[in-house]
Amino acid sequence: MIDPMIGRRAFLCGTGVTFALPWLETLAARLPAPLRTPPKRMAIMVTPNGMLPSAWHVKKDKIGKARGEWQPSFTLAPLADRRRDVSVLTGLANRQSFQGDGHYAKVAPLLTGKKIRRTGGRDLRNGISLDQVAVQAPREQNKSATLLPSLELGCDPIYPVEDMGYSTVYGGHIAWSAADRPMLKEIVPQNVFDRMFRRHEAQNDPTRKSVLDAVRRDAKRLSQRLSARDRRKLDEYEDAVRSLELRLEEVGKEGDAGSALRKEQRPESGRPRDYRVHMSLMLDLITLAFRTDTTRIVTFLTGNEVSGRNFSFVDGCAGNFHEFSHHQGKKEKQEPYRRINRWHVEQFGALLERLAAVEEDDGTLLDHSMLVMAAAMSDGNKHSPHNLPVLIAGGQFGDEALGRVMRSRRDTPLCRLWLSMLQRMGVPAEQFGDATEPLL
Amino acid sequence: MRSVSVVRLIATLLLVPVLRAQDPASAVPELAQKLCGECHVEDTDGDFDLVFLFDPGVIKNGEYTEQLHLAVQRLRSRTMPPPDELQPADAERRELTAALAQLMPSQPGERVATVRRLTRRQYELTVQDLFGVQWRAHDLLPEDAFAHGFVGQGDVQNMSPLLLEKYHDAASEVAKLVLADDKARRVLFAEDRALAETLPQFLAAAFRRPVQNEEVTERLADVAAMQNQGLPAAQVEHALLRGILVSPSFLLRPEFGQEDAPAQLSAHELAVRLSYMLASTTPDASLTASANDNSLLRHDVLIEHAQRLVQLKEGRAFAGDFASQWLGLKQVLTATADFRRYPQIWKHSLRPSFLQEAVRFFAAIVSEDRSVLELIDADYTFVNPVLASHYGLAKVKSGFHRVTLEGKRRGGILGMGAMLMTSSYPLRTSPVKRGQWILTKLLDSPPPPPPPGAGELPKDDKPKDNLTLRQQLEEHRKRRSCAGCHAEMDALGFALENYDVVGRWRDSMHKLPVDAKAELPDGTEIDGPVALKRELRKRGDDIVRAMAKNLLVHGVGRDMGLADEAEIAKIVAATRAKGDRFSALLAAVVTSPLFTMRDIDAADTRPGGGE
Repeated sequence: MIDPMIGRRAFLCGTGVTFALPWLETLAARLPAPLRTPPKRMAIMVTPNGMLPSAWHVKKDKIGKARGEWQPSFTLAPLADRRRDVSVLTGLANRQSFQGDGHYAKVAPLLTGKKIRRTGGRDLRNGISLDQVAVQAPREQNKSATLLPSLELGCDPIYPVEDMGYSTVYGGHIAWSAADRPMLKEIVPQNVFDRMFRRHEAQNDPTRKSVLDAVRRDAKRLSQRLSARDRRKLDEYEDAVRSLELRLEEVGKEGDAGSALRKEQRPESGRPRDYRVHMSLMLDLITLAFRTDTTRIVTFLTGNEVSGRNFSFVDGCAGNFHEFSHHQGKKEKQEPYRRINRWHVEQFGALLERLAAVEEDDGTLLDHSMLVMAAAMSDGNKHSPHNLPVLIAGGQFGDEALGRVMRSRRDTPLCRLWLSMLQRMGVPAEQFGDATEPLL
Repeated sequence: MRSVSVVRLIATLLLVPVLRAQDPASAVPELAQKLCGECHVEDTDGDFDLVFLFDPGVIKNGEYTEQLHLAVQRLRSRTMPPPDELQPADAERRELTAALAQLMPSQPGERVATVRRLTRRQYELTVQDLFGVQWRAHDLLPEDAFAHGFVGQGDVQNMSPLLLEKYHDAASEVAKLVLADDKARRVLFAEDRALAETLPQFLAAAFRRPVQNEEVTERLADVAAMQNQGLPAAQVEHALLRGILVSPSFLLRPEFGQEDAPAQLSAHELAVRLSYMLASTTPDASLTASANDNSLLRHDVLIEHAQRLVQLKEGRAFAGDFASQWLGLKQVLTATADFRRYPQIWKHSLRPSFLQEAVRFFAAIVSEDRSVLELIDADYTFVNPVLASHYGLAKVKSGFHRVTLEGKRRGGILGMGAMLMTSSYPLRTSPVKRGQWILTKLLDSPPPPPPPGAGELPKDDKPKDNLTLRQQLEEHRKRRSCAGCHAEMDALGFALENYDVVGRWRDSMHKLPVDAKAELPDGTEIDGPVALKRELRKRGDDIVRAMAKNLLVHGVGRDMGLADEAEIAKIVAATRAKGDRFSALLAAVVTSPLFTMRDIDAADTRPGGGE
């Protein structure tokens, strides 16, 4: 029997400021034993406004041959102890984001590999992001679907402004289930928690079918009279009804995996004022989602593109993040910029620590996952789409792929990484975006 | 630009044999010849040729419309003709803009708004009005996406599984609340009336339209089936309510048009547009009655309802929704200033008071039916004790009060903290942002985004290398690539330099006198806000147009494009003819075919309603 206790250390110490979260610990202790055959999971964390390249990249003379033989750069320093488990990928680019000004044209297609249409709203067009491709693929390996097909997380509500003629919607979503369907992300920790664990209400609700049937009838009735454009909106509605139904059915079928949790204290309502607390809770929830096999696919947009968040809690970083990212080569802006970048890397490290502390089968959650951290541009000052900052970690990438600085030729399709991940998730894909062969 | 010229070249080459009969350049109107001809007619270096736009033989594809937009934008933003060339009179500029706008191709269906969903605020108010309960969504429903400055635009409203689940949770909560409240419960479940009696009326209210028989009978059958299952009454009632509140007929606002004239909105659809535009909620009993007997299709009835709805809470309901979106007023709530230099911001009520002031001011124009140009210039404002002392006005008792302003220093949105603080940085004002604010919001001619590497000014307005911030900005403008846009933008902003970061009046900064002198692109010299306001009042057409256009975007749910300009021009003319009164603007907007029609380009177009 494996000890179901999630390691205490992971939650109390990390590389930076960490907050003790008694609720998560208590909850974890009460969970049933982890799964016997661990499923494969993936989580992609995307951070805004790029990363200062000079502080990000590992110098050539700091790279050895063997696994773990690389000396972290300034920005990557928080990962020093995880050198064996993390790889730095260089040379990757999303070619479909080469054109189009501003931030949104870079971030919206990051996980889709498609060129987005420039529009303030009408006829949005992107592609399907790899996480949703994985969701939609028939599950060869994992016959039982998880309670949530995927989890879309974020910290910011959608911003009210367009960016260079690109819709607000492009800036706030990285997960897209169809060319014109961004997946709403959840930004309130309590809501994420409820969605995973507050199942009692929906469970055994005998009226469920009646309610959804009525709703579906209404949709059908409307649909017959609508224009093609509006019908697409209604299709979306009907698909959502179907998803909800499947999910509620799943809740009914599922045993009591989460029932031990629901009486415990939930995270507080609302968005935490302190961004560090917000981030920390989100990382806890990802860990908990994987641990309970509530979902296997997570995308996390830590902040919307063009974020002007004030990182005053990082020494010397009081001010506007986006304005720091336009550093114009000036030291006084590059310094806070790279420190904010490093803080984000620290958070990625904190996620690894959390996952590594949870034992499962013959390893840990980290061994059974693929984790990615990426930004949609490299140098925020130039909005450069080349040589994107990308980190990978997690045993599912395979030993060969980890603990190195993996250099690819300039503008190697980022989609090759996404294709590798799809294949590792068991999706029989042979191409994705502009990639026809996997990177790893 | 290059690719555009290539397309044009190809298009021209293909069409040459057909069009040879007539010289394409002759299609360019005289005014365009006069104002732009020197550089842009039969333009030999292939930069931008108006012949391409006016040539009837040219295919109206994407490149064409892009060029057309650019031409109109340049004209409207007064960056063309260039400052050193002959400047057109305002009327000429309008005429040429209209001539260009008219070239915009339009096809049936292209100007139909995508089906809209209730916004979070609309959902709350609708639920409150349906049941008479107080209810807030808080975190149950997400914040809405904006498009063209407004929420509730169908094009960016998506329904994802997560969102539907949230609606399901919200419906569940509302149903619980309703069933626990005797009065609210009786709306649908009354002791003395059968469900078969109450349901049709309730469904019609919830769906905001007459309902078909089967919509009622099917639901009654659902209820009977659940009862037969032996489910407790409370559970059945909860399920019925939930099913109505998650229904697409409740959440969405579909528009099908009249049965025999699908291009025209039906009376009920018109009622819904009107009610959500002006009151953010479902049509009330009186409006519904006018929809039921179709009298709403008459312009006089429609106008009467519009004037009535807009008065809700002395205009504050409408102002708080429309004006705060149009003018971005809520941004002041999150604006920051350096607390060492501006300790005033420690007063937590300051920023909410700024918002209140602007909303109440706009509401006064609406409810007292004043000239909408008072937005620029007025001799009154609304202050509470916090604002009175902040602005240096006479003390007032607690709460907000209308005060008459002595002199012209304040008065109008440009003298309000809500505008002045959102257009400043923590350590300095930004003439650029302030100018951009005026151009974008009030004149609807947003300057294009700065080119890459445009450079940046310091964050602080302390003089540097013996240059004031203004002198540094003027250096910047010497670059030709910057001058075009900054000439007007900066001038408008400089004139507001008498207001500091938090909107207080100042005569000096860093021991130097404030320099609020500026030269507008047409050569007019202005000094300070009073002169600026005087000049802006001369742009009445542009301001009325901006307001009408934004009201239409908000009310109709789509962006207004060049093809809509001709109808908007009619609204402007009607408003101006009546002294720019708000009531005139509102009446012209709600009776415009842009508002009363579902598809203004459809073949079955016929004049809607009578007077």
